[in-house]
Amino acid sequence: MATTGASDGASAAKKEGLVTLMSGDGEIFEVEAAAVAALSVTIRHAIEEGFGDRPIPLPIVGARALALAVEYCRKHHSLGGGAGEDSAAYDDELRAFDHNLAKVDRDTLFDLIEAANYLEIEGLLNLMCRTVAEMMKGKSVEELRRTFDVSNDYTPEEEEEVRREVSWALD
Amino acid sequence: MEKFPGELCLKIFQFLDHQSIATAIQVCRRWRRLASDDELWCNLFRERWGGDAASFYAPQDSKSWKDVYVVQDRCDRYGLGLKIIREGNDYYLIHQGEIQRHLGSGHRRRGYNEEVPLNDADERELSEISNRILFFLGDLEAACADAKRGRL
Repeated sequence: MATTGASDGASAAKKEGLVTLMSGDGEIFEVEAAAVAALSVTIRHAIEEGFGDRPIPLPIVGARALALAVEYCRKHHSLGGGAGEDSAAYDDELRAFDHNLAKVDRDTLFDLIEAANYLEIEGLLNLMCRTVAEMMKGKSVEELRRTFDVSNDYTPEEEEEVRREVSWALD
Repeated sequence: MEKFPGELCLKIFQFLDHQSIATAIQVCRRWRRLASDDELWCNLFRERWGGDAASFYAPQDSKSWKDVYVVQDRCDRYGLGLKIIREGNDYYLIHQGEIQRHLGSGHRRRGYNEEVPLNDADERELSEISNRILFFLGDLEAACADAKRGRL
């Protein structure tokens, strides 16, 4: 896990190779710059722009999602060298790690998608989007509305029209 | 997912097959708009029928990739010929995967055990459908007979 609660994160002398991240809810994470920069385009750019000495503010990323995203970066950096999903270096251990990471509850899943999107961690974004897609498969319209808290805003006429529009696919 | 920007919803939808997307379209107006995305259906088409077919059948005029996909799917299931098919509760006359005519709506059970009673209008509609099918079959017979005569 990331080094958390380090109140000295911002002011302390810079440790070699570390970068400080600040989540939207104000938590400080000190992480290896190489690992996060290799996986996250956003952080790489921030470091290139000279943020290396100051905490990098990540306003829309919550602490829990950030901790998981950092864990993802570390694991993938150490095992996969930051390579994408198609890389041959993608071994069983990474697969198992991803599989476990995807076992979070729905809200964390959504937070992670937003975090991965903001941090531009492509592999993590794809992993989480695929996980949500897997949750959708085989569900009825009603089940989808319930699972994803979406309310039905169709009029009965529209509902009939839409049902007709997609009936080719559903028999 | 309500608060997600459209691009994120699409990122999720791109991992779905056409049946799951068709179900998603029925969820709400926003999902319908997003899940009808041209690029999404273009990719589904490519995955299923390959890049060459995709370039060949690329939609023209006001057609969308979804329209093109539906036509190709019907061709796969029913062939290119003239057919009467049922989709949902509706009967259509199709040719080369495209709907030529809506023949009418049938009435199937709605809900679990609830039989929907037919009123007079429904009855009339039903007999109209069977009439139209009969007319069509009659025309078909006549055309076959003509063709045979032509060959002799």
